[in-house]
Amino acid sequence: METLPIGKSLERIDARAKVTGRAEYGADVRLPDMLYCKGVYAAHPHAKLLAVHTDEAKRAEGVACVVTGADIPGEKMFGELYVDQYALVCDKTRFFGDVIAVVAAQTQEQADAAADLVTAEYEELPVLATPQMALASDIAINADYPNNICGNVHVRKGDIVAGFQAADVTVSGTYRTGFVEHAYIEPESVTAIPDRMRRELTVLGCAQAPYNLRLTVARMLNIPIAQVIVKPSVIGGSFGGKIESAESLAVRAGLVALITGRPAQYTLTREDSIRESYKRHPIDFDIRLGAKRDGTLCAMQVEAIGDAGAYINMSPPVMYKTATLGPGPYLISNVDYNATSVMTNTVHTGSMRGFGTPQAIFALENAMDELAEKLHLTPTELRRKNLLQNGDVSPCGHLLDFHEVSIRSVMEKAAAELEFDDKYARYTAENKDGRRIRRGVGIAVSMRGASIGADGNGFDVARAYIEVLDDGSVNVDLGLTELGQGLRTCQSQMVAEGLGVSFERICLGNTDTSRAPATGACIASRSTLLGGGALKDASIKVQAIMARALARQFGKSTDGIVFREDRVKFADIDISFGEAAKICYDLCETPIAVGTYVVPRLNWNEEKGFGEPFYTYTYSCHAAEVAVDLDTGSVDVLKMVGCHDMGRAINPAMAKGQIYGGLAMAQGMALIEDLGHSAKTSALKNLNFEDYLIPTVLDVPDCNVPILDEHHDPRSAFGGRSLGEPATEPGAGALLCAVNHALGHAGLIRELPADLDRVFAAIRSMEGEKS
Amino acid sequence: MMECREYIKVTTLEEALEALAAAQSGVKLLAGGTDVLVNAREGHPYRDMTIVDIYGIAQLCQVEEQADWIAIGAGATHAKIEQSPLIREKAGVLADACRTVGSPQIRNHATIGGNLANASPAADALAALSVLEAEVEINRLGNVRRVPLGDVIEKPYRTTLTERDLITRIFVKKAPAGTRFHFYKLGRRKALSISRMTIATLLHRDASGVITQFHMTMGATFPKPMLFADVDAMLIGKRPTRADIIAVADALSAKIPLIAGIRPSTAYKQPVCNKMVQRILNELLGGDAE
Repeated sequence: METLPIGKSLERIDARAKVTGRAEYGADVRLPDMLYCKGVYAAHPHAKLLAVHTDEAKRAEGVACVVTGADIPGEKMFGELYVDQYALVCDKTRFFGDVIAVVAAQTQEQADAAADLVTAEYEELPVLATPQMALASDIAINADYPNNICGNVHVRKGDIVAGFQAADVTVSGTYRTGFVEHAYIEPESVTAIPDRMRRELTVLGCAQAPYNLRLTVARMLNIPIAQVIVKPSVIGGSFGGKIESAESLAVRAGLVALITGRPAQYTLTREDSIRESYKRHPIDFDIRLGAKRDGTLCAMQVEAIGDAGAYINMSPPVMYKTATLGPGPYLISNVDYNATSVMTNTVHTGSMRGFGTPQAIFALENAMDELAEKLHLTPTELRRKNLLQNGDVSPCGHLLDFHEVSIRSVMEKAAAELEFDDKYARYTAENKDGRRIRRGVGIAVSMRGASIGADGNGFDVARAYIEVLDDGSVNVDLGLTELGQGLRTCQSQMVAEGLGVSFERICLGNTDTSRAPATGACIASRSTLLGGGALKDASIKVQAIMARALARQFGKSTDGIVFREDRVKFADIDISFGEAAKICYDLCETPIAVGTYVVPRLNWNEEKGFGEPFYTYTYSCHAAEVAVDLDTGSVDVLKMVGCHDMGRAINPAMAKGQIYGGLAMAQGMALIEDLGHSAKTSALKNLNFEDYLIPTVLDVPDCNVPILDEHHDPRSAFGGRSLGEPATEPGAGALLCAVNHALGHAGLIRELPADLDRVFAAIRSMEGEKS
Repeated sequence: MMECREYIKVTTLEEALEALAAAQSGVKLLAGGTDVLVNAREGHPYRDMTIVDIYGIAQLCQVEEQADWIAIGAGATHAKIEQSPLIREKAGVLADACRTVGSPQIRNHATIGGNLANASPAADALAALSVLEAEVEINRLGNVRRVPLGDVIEKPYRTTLTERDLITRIFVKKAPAGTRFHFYKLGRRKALSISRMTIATLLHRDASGVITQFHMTMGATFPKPMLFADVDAMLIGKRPTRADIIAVADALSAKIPLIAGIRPSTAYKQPVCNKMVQRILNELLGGDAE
């Protein structure tokens, strides 16, 4: 019996079902009479859609129906914050992943074949394939945003002009990142099941944010929210990617289900998934740093332009994180960080693990190395000079006096594990001997706000339902989704500790939106903080109900009652939790409660771009060691270290799992992942995993090391914060710092991915300069 | 799901020949399927074709030693070739090449004959087969002929074979004892990677250090497998100097624009080839070059 489960590496509650193949993923669902769907993609990325011809497809073998945007009975567009995305295009296509019709047939093969028979008429418009083109054009992709700018956050602190005037040394340059695909192992799949009694839909499948999906389906298909029931299937990875992507599929499949009265499954092929799902934002950074001769930072100015793609999606909040977290964990008085997102006719960009910061940290940390080089300091010396400490004010103006500001300890632990200082000196020296395979080390730091932040002021909430049954088992209904990260095991550990019962009593079932109260989604590294808060609140309420029953039963005061380690103690009473539960039911009490946690309102001045951008922070450092072959441009990652202070590791094995995965994801973004975006046509060339390369098991070092540097956070109910995003945040920056160190010039390569051709070209230019 | 007109599974060479004789026009041989099944996902390339599945025919899976050659059954998998002690000893460059193909799953299933017939310019085995002076045995409805590798592959994804031709064996020259082999693969990642370039080398020196045999060529570079007698001749009969090595590197890398034409990749491939040829030869000659 595990009575104090937090901090223990308990086995995941879904491990056995997953490894034995019993777990049911979206596309595993099979129902009698079920139809299969296939989307028809736009032939032009920017065009007025004049007509869609579906007659021939409707007559094809096995076809039950063909739907277009005209068939959507409710609102034609969706979006959580900005309602501008089509599930089915009505008037104008905006990118190659737009769907103009959906065919539903008895078999997937019949649906695929009939989809080829749908034709359309277009009036082509100029294609704005890059932010530069969109900014220069007088054509608006979305008429509500005439200059194609859909988001801007401008952080300002101090006096940037005076800051640079005070600087002895400055560096400046442009850093660029590319589109990155989430590359979840399971392509999107949803199944919509119509109710036989009333206008009601049940949606199964890969919904990362089931309540968002419920709302979108309700609005677009004109169904009361209560009659859209979402039950996410086991989800094969998401990384932020199965929010809006799952919503558009659910609307299309739901429409088919309502029209035909039959269940409809909509599963994307890998190619279709990459074509239509949103990506990580490519961002261009014009960055300028100024410092005193001793390395003290005095000014940071960044102009960041992100490619929002065809739909606004999460671009404005992504830019919020770029601007508020992009300045890093440094003590700096003068900051001007302006982040703008621009709509284009390319694939839209949205939530992806890191949400606008891995790009920014890559740019900042490489610029920091440039500065260090100019000041004749090592990367760690410069950072030691400037990292935040307890009581400092963050680059955005947040007084950090409420928890341990551990970034210094976090960096030192990562640096020590990699033997950074020793290797930095050694490789710097040995690389001068003419060798063709050179080694390098890099280090990058970040601080990440837990949860949404001030741009979510007032709606950053979580709810959870706890029900104690009369055998002492505990039913928990929670709308935060298991995405493979181990959330449901961790949340179970928190309930057990919150209620003071053994882990074995906790039954955390699958999410069902008709049972679990609406909660903000499992996004933004918020579930440990927010879910923990809601579970704690529900636990306290349930304990109060139980205490009332026990007072009645024993006729004694329950003041100071303690629920701990599966025992309930008050006055001279000491009974098991199971006995206490039974007493509640014998006395007809109801030990059920819904808990709520809302992040306190944050004091953030949006106009001035200054204040408290987040409630609390996770501190991270990644250190990387690479070998670069000067004759081929190939980069071999030798070792990566990820050290994080996530407050308290609820389940250390799973926390480390997040870090291993985050390091691998950063490696892909840094070195090889490339969608093959055309700056002319806006098309993506690399639509499957033969062409879109992600790291394999042979590319990721066996010797990567995750380190947990825990300092319990008093702002979190159970002391912990989520690691999902921090785990990948500084990795790409650390790797490029390492590559540039190996090449002997900080900031030599300023564009991701640093693939064979790009690294080789940089080497050629460097060696050309020399000769 | 693969669409086809007809699917025939054969278990012997004789049955395969019969099926090839009987099939109406439009025949595709299936010898593992790691290309065919992938191609089948796009469009309907085999809808009007008869698929003859020759995978696993025992007569086509042998690896046999002959006087001057090793005869490799066309149905041998890359894994089998990689693990064959005979090939590792006397044609090691081919074992090394097969080891770099795809992933364990692909190597366990894909066959050397299928790889050849698919004629991908990036096929990892091709450069290795070239330096082993490979010849291909082809059975056309019972008539057997043997042709040099370079005459079988015409250009990327195109062979000189007809749809009734069945590759039965591939012969590679046994290298004399003491031969040094080298296979280099440059990919964008370490597994499941389509080669950007491969370089295969075979080099033999006599007791005095004079080179008696030398072949070196690239894969994933030219439209078809090629050997260059003029380049090979640059080292034969010599105890190579540093200058000789540079001359070979210059000559081999110069073949890239000459044969493949100047492409966007040339700016990368030509200098990389030059540097890697030097590095490989220095390694094989053990720093003996003066």
